[in-house]
Amino acid sequence: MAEIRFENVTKKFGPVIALSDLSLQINDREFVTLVGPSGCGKSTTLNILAGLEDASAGLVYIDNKVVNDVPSGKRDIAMVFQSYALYPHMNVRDNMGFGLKVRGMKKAEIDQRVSEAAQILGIEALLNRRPRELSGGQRQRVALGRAITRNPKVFLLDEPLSNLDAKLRTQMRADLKLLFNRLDGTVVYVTHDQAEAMTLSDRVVVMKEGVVQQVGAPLALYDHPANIFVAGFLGSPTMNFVNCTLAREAERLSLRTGEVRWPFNLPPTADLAALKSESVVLGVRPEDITVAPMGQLVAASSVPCTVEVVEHMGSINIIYISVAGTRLIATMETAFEARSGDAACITINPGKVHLFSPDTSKRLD
Amino acid sequence: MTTNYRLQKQISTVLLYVVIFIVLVIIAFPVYWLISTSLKPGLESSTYPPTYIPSRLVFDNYVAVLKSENVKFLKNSLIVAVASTFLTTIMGAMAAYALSKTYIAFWIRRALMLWILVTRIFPPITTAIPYYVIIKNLGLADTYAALIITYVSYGLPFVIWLMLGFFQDLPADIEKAAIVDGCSMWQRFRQVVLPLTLPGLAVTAIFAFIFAWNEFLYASILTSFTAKTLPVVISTFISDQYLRWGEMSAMGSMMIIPVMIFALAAQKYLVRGLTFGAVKG
Repeated sequence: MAEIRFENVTKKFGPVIALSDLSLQINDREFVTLVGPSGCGKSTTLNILAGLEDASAGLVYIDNKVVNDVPSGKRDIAMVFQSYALYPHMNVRDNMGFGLKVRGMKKAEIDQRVSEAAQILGIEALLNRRPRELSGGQRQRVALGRAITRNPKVFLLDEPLSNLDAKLRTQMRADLKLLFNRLDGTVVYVTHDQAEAMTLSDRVVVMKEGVVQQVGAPLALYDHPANIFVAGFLGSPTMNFVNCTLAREAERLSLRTGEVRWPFNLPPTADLAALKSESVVLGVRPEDITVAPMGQLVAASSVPCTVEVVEHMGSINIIYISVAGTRLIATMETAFEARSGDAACITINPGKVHLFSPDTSKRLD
Repeated sequence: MTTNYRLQKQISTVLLYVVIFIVLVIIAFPVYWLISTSLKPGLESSTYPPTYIPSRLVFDNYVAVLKSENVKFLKNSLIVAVASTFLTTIMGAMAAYALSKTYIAFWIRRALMLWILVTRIFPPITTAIPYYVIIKNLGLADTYAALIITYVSYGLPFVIWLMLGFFQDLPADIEKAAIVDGCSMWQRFRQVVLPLTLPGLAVTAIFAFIFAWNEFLYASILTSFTAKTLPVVISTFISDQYLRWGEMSAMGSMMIIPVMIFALAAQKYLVRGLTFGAVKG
């Protein structure tokens, strides 16, 4: 049982604030991912939890006990590093058993634990090798093995897949998910890769410049991003953002960008009613835009556009289009053939549009 | 074109070997001169013009030098050099580790480092007399301790500065992993950091050994008989009446042997070590 809680945790490095007033609860056995661009404070958060950095202010709880002054080795945590950080002078067996040896466990028990972990990860054959004799993927497994052997309450993973090639990364991602489904620990995972965050986690914490932007289940964040940053960070290709003017026509609201009237109406919600200015930012995910050759769609619900580039990815097509000078990206699973400069038209799924305030960049519901 | 290029390449290879040969001769000649002088009969070592190759090989000088008293001085030299090498390396490594890994204010660390370096800047002779008085008042004159303390204090700055580079180049994550694994600072140093910086330790140990083995000034000031070391013994072959070149060379030749054995044993670390500490990987 290990619940983790941050209470108003701040970390300063000189004048630089790396982490600003973080309050976050991570439930027992939950898989939580901290995600954001470099310098967003995610690794600092992990290091504070690991006891490798001291918080400048605020309290950190593990299992309802304040651990600010508990040394790292006594927090019952295990950590996997981006660089794997295996001990180069020890073989795999000693690497995995080192943490237990330091704690004075008997050799027979260490051997048993190492064998069990090695079996789970399928690295029994590597136990007598040195780290330099292993491939990147194997090192990654050993680093995981070192964490598992300790059977800790909390697993901390700091960008564990970043050093692997793309193919191996996808495979290890699935393996990680399976592995942590089997294990009984709380997992805090740090990555800058939104795909890892979306696929692995129970909940995702999106961070920027030391401040938490939004916390929630991956799909909840994807479907209801709290601000422009979260909306743009999650999803690939990224969400399209267009500056628009709000036009109030009787009971209905519509959006215009220059001469273009976007082909859907909006219900007059409280947020929109309270809006002081008329300008908003429209956000549309690429998969919510449908592109068709000119004339195939009903004129009233579509907008004419020009095709810039079509990228055939095999399973999907990424289409770059221009609507009155604004570039949009659409993805479609169906076949789409067009040449650069061809005229086409688009429709947008009205239930999937997002509106943001250009001043606060917050979501307007 | 191809032949031309091949010829050019061959010429440059030959030139390279010629240069290497010249450098080798320059380095090896003093050693050759030392050994050949030690094997020359009688007064041949003082003749003019000098003989480059001994007229015949005799071992009289070695027999004269290897009398029992000198064996005792050899023992002194070994004890002092080994003990001071061991202490300098271990203490220096610990000091460097503490300096590189503990959180102290930048300016304090800088001041400490500079202070450590300053002790190496002035020539040893400047402190010789106060040093002699202190050692004498401590009742340590003519003891191993006098020399060992001196050599350790002179060797430490070098070891600290060199090892600091090695420790700073260690990947931070490895130490973090050890911290999370529950290691205390000492366990980290002993079980993770030291094994990984063995090349650095080997380099510093060689330099510390060579320094202690060859040191003459303090050995001649601080010892008179009991703790006298070989360099001081060699100096006794110089008197106002004559220079005993033969015996001096014989002892000098023998003095090279332990250093050579030590250096050869640690050679693979030496080459790796000198670059390991300097360049970030």
